[in-house]
Amino acid sequence: MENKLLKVNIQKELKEFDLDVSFELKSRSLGILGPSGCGKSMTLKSIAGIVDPDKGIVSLSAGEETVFFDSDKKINIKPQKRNVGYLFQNYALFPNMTVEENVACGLPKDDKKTVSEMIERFHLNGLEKRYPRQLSGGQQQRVALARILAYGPDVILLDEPFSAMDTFLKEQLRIKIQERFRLQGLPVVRTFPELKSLMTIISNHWIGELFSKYPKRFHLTSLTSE
Amino acid sequence: MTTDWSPVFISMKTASLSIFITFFVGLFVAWGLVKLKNDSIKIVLDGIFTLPLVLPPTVVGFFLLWIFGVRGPIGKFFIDFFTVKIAFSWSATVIAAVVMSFPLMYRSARGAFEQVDSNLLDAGRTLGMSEWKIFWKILFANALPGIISGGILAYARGLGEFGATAMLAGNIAGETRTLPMAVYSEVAAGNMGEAFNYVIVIVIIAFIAIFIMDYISIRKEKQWK
Repeated sequence: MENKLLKVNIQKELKEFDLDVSFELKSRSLGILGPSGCGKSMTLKSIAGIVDPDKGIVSLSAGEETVFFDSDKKINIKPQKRNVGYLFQNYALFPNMTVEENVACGLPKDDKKTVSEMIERFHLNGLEKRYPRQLSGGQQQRVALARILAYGPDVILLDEPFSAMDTFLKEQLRIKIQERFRLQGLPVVRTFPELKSLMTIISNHWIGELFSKYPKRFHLTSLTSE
Repeated sequence: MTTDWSPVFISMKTASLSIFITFFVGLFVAWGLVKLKNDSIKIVLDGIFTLPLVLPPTVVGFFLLWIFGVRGPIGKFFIDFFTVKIAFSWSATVIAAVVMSFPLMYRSARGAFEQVDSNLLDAGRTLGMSEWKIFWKILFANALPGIISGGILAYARGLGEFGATAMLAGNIAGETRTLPMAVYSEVAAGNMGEAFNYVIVIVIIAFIAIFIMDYISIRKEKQWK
């Protein structure tokens, strides 16, 4: 299994403060925590290419290095080409598509196998023909995760995950996701809204140190896991 | 005296072709404007595209005549190169209807697009969907009820177009005399009975159109809920 290395070093001027984040992540999970509005989502969006930082570099190595963003070299790859799985805070499921169609939307038309595989893996059997509005919050989140993993991303970004789910499933799914990501050797960056949930969730894979000088600066320094 | 039914066919032809043009042009102009990041350009363009809605139709007709008339830049071009006269021909009724109904379509579509959660579009992007696919499958599909109601309004506006049509296309029987024109002509000539026939037809067409489009949008919406 090849190791993947995600390098992030970005600066962006925001209304209330300047965002300044840098870390390196090697096929492991990294948690970013802090109060809302401290730049967590902004950091993830910069990695995914939804938001452009003012300055800096974002790159991913999987064998060879792919530069996603480089302000000096004027490189800015489209989000479509970054192959990043992004779980939105509100899951961003397409309300006009069924569960099945949501999971299939990033795949080639004839790839039915991956869809049924993901439906199975995320306990969505029987819900294939439902629309997102007809699902509970926890079910919606599982659909969103199934959709991301079906696409086979190189990096996973989870924006404040696991807040809406019931505890039992939360625990089960957490283990499942971790196993799955570990098998694929994927770097995972996730955000956590508060310290309370942090202690239970990141304890078994948290490595590194984090500095948050909110509100002036949000700063993560040279985090290398392993 | 038997009623001359040509205004019915002329109106149907004009309204159908003009809603076809207005629908797609309005849709893509709205999309372009939603994507536009520069606010001052946005405001200027929005002003231009909305103008026909707030100006008196005869003023819009005046401008159209100025552009498409025999001495106007586009009118002259068509005469010189294609020997086609636009003003006071059937195509002029279509141009007038398109320009007058355009703001309704454009504004409705734009409002409907802006209601769609931008996270959905970003989700589509991170999932590798092309911008074209995102437009149709996500933006258009989720804005559909608003787009359809814009289409209804634009269609009704095109069907009822009078002022600008009178200026640019005139009132030539069998050629540019649409239903609203025919109603006016008959009333002016004192034939209230004839005018009444046209009025009935136009009310029925308008009602059917609204019924069909409403039916589609209600069914579509129910499906996801």
